[in-house]
Amino acid sequence: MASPVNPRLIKRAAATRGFLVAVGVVGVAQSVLVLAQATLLARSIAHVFYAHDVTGVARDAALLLLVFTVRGALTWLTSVLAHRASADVKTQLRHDVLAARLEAPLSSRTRTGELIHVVTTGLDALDGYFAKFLPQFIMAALVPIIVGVAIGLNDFESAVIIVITVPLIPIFMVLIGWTVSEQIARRFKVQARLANHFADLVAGLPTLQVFGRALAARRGLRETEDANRAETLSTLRVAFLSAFVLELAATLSVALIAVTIGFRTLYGYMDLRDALYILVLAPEVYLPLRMVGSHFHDSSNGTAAADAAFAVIDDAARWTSPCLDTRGPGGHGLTSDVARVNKSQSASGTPIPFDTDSAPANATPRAPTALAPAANSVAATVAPPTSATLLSFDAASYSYEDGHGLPPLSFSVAPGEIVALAGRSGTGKSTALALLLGFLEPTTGEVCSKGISIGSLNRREWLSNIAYVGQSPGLLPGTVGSNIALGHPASSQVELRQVLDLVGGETIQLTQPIGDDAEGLSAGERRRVAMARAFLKVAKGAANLLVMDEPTAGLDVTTETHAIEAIRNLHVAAVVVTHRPAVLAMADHVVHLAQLAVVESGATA
Amino acid sequence: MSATAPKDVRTLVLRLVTEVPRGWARLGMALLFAVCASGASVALMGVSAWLLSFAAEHPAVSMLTLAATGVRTFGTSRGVFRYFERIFSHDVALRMQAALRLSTYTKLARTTLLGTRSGDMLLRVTADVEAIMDVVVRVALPFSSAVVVILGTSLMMTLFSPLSAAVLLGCSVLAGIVLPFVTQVFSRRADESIAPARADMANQVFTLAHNATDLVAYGYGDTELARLDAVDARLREAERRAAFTRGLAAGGQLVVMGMAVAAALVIGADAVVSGALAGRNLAVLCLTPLALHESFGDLTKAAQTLTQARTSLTRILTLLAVEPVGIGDRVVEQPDKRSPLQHPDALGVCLDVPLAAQAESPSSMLSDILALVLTHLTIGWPGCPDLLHGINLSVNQGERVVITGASGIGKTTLAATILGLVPPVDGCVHAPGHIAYLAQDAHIFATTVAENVRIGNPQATDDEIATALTKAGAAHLEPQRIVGEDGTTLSGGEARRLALARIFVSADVPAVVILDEPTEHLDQETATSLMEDVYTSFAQSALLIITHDPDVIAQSERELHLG
Repeated sequence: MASPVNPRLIKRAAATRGFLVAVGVVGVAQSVLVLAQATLLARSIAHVFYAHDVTGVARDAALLLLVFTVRGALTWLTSVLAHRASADVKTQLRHDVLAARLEAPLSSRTRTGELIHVVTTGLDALDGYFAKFLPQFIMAALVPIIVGVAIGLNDFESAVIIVITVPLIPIFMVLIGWTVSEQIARRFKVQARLANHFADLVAGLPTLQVFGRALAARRGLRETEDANRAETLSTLRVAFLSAFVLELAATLSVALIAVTIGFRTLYGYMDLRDALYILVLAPEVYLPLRMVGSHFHDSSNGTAAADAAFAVIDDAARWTSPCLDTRGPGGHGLTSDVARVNKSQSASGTPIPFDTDSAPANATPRAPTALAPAANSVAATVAPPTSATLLSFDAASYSYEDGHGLPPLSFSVAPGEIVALAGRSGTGKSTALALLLGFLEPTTGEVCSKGISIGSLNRREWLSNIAYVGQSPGLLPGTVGSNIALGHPASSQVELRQVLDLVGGETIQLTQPIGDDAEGLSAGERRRVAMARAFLKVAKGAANLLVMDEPTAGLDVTTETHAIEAIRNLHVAAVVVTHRPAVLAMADHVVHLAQLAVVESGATA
Repeated sequence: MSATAPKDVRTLVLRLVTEVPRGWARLGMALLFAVCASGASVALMGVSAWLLSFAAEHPAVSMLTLAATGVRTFGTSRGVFRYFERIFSHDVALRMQAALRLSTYTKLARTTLLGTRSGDMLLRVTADVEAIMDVVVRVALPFSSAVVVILGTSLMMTLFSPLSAAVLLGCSVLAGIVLPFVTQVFSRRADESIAPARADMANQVFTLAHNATDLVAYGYGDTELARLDAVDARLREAERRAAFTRGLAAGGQLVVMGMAVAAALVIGADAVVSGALAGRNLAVLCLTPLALHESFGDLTKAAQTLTQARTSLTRILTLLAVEPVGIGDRVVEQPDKRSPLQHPDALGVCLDVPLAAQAESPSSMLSDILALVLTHLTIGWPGCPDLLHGINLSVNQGERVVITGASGIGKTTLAATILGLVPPVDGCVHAPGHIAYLAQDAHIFATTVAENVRIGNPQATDDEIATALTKAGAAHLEPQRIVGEDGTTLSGGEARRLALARIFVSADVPAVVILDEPTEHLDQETATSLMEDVYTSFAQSALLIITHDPDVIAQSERELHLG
C-alpha cells in the first residue's frame, strides 16, 4: 500500500508544508469548538430536563449558533486553503514536468499522449488528495486525541472503549489493505482493459465502417460491457469492504458507548449532562477516521498522479546523463568504422578511414593529411579538430539501456562546410543529432565546438548558433508565417515569403492557419515550413550551423534541386542526415554510419 | 433504440433507466439502501438521545432494553446498508452507462465518419458518456435519499414538536437542497469555464510536448512554458472560484444546521416548561439535526458535479439528435450482385479508356478491364456545400492513378464516395468489383495481431491470417501478440502493414485499391519498401493513390489533380 503522505510531495511542494500546518491549526480549533458545542448542548438540555426552567437557554442557544458559525467559517477556510495548496502543487508539477520535457526533448520514453494525461487529468487527482484526504488525515491524527481526552476527563469508562476501538480502525484498514490490495490491483488491470474497449472501438469506427464491421462490433461491445460491469462490481465488492469495516467499527463503537452510558445513567452513576456530553462527542471521535477511510482512494489516486509526474521528471534527468557503457572506452569493437569520404576519392571507391587523435587505441591510423584536397574539400577539416573547427565529434558514442545507440563517431565540420551523415535506419543518425544539439551527453568520447566540449557550454547559447530542421518538425499553432518567423522574429512578410519560396514552398500561403498538430499541412509541406524557418535564422546571421534531418524527403526532384542550391548558397556549415543521392552529392563530405554489429565485424576483419 | 432522440438530460436519464432490465427496481433498491443508511445514522443519534434521557428518569431496566437494542441495531446496520447502497448504485449506473455507450456507438456507427475531421469528437465521446455514472451515483441517488430522509426525520419530529419539526424541515431543505443548488448556480460560470480552460491546458501541453525539440532548438522553450503558466493561472482562477463557493456552501450548511439545533433547543425548552413536551424528548429534538447534517456533506460537491455532467451529457444529446450522414457502415456487396458495367458508349464522353489497355487484355469483356468509372461526379456531405464538381475518371485494372490536391479539398471524401459510404451528390460511381481501402491512420485495435487482421474477414482461419501477414510484409508480427492502445507498440511502418494485411485476408480479390496517403509520416526507406510491396501485390488491381508524396506521384501513370 502506498504511503498516504508522499514525502516527496511534501518535500518538493513548499506550498504543502504551510497547508499542513494550517490544517493542523484548523483541526485543533475545530476540536475545541466541538467540545464547546457539546458542553453547551449538554448543559442546556440537562438544565431544562432537571430544573424545568429556561434560564440561560436562550444565551446558550445564541452561543451554539456562534460556535456553528465559526465552525462554518473554518470549513470554508479549509476548502479555500486546500484548493490553494492543491493548485500550487499542480502548477509547480505541471511546470516542472514540461520543463523536464524541454530539458530532454528527445526522451521518447514518455509518449506525448501519456504526458498530456499526466499533467492534465492525472494531476487533477491531487485535488481529491488535498481537498479531501490530507485535511481528514491530519484531523484523524488530532481530533480523536483531543476529543478523546475531553471524554476521558468526564468519564473514564467511555474513554476506555474509545482507546480500545479507535486503534482497531487503522489496524483493520491495514489488514484489509494487505489482503485485498493485490487482488484489487489485478482486477483494476482487467477492468481498465475492458473499460478501454469502448474508447478503442469508437476511435476505430472509421476503420470498422470501411470494412462494414461497425454495426457487427456492437455484439462484442455489449458482451464487453457486461464483462466490464461484472469485473467492476467484483472489484468494488472487495474495495468497499474496508469502508464497510470502518463504518461498522465507528458506528458500533458509538452505539456501544451510548448503551453503556445509558445504563450507567439508569443506575445513577452518571447524570444526563455528562451522558449527553459524551454522546455528542463520541461520533466526532470516529468521524475523521471514517472520512480518512472513505477518501483513501483519493490518497492513492493523488500519490499515483504525483508519482507519475515525478517519474517524467526523473526520466528526463536520467535521459540527459549518459548511462554506463558496458563495453568501456577503447575496448574491442569500438573502432569507428565511420568512413569519411572525400568526394574526389569516393568516385574511385576507396574510402579513407578517419579517426582523430582522441580515438580509441586500436583505431585505424588516420589517413595522412597529404591527401590532395579536392576542389570543394577544405584541408583544415581533414586535420585534427582545432580551435577553428566549428564542430567535431571525437569518437563520441552513446549507448541506450537496451544496448542500442551510436557507435563511436568521429568527424568535424569547418565553417562553411557541408557534411552529410548517411546510413540505414537504426544506425544512430538521430542519436548523433541529439548529441550534436546537446540533448544527450556522449557515453564515451566528446562533441566539441572550437575545441570546447559542448557539454560545458551553455546549452541555450550553443543552440542559438544552430538552425535545426527535424525529421517530423514541430510547428506551433498559428500561421505558416508565424512559424517561419520563429527563426528570426524581426522579419518582414517579404522576407518570410522569400525563404519559403527558396525551399520550394511557393504554393504554401503565409497566412495559412496551423492548428494543433499542424493540421492542414502535409508532411512535406511541414518540412518545407521548418526549412524556411531554419534558413531564415541562417540568413539573418543568427545561426552559423545548419542541422537537418532528412530535409528533402517528400520533395520532388525539381524542388529538391532548388532546396539544395539554396543550402549551398547560404555558405553555412551544415550537418545533414540524408540518404537522398542528390543531397549526398551536394555534401563536401559524407560520413557513413554503420550498424553496431557491422562495426564489430569490420574491426576484426 | 427509439427513433426520437431524448430532448434533455432528464429525459435521457429516464430513458436509460427503462432501457436497463428491471431498471426502476434496481434504482429503487439502491435508493432504499441509501435511505436506510442515512436513516440509520439519524436514528442512532435520536434513539441514543432518548435512551439517555429516559435512563435519567430511572425507569425499570426492562423499559430500556428495547431502546438499547435499537441503538445497537442502528449502529450495526448503517455500515451494512451503506455497503449495499454502493454496490447497487454502481450496478445500475454501470448498466445505464453500458446502455448509453451502446446507443451512442450505434448512432456513430450509422453515420459515415471517413473523411470528416471527427477525431476530437470521437475522443471526447468516450469521456462524455462516463458522466452518466456521476449523475446516478453522485447526484440522483444522494439527492433523492436526502429528500426522503429529511421528510422522514421531520415527520418523526412532529411527534414531539410540530413547530420544531417545521423549523428542522426548513433548515434541512435550505442546507441539503437549496444551498447546494444555489452554489451550483453561483459557481456554474466557474465550473463551465473550467472545461475550456482544461482544453486549452491540454492543447498547450500538447504543443509543448510535441514540439519540444524545435522549441528548445529555437530558444522558445521558456516562452511556451510562460504561456503554459498563463493557461494554468486561468484554470487555477476558475478552480479557485469553484472551491470558494463550494467552501461557502459547506460552511453555510453547518451554520444552517446550527440554527436548526439552536431553534430546537429554544422551542423544545419552552415546550418542556409549558408541559407540551416530555423532558426526555428534548435531547432527541436537539441532537437529531446534528446527525442529519452529516448526510448533507457531499451534496454541494454533487451539485457542481451535476453542472459538469450536464455539459458532457448535453454533448451526447446533440450527437444523438443529429441526422446520420451517409450510410455509416459500408455494405460490402458481392461482386456478382452488382450490375455489370455498361458498354462504354452508354456512359458517354466521360470514359477515356486507353485503347492499348483494351488491346492488351486477354478478355474481350470490358468489365474485366475497367475497374472503376466516375462519371460527372459531384461529391460533398449532405447538408453541406458541395466539395468538388464534375469528376470524370476511369481506371483500368493494373493501372496506377494518383489523386492530388491541397489538404482539405475532399480527397478522402472522394474515397468515401467511391466506397459507397457517402452518396454522390450528382453523377455516378461504377465499380463492378470489390473495393479495398487503406487509410493513412487505419486504427490498430488493442487486441491481438490476428484479431486486427480478422477485421478484413471475420471468417479467416489462422492460416489465412498468417498468409495475409506474410503478403503484407508483416510476417514477423506474431499473430497472438497483443498490440497496445493505438498500436503504440508498433512502428508506423508496421501499423500500416498490419492494416494492409486486412485487405489481403479478404475473400474477395480487390478490383480497386484506394490508398489514402500511404507514405505519410513514414521515413523514406520504410515508405519505399512499403510501396514496392503494394505495387507487386496489387499488380492486377486498379490502384487509386491519394498522396502528396512526389516519389509516389512519379511512379504512377496518371494524376487526377483536384481543385
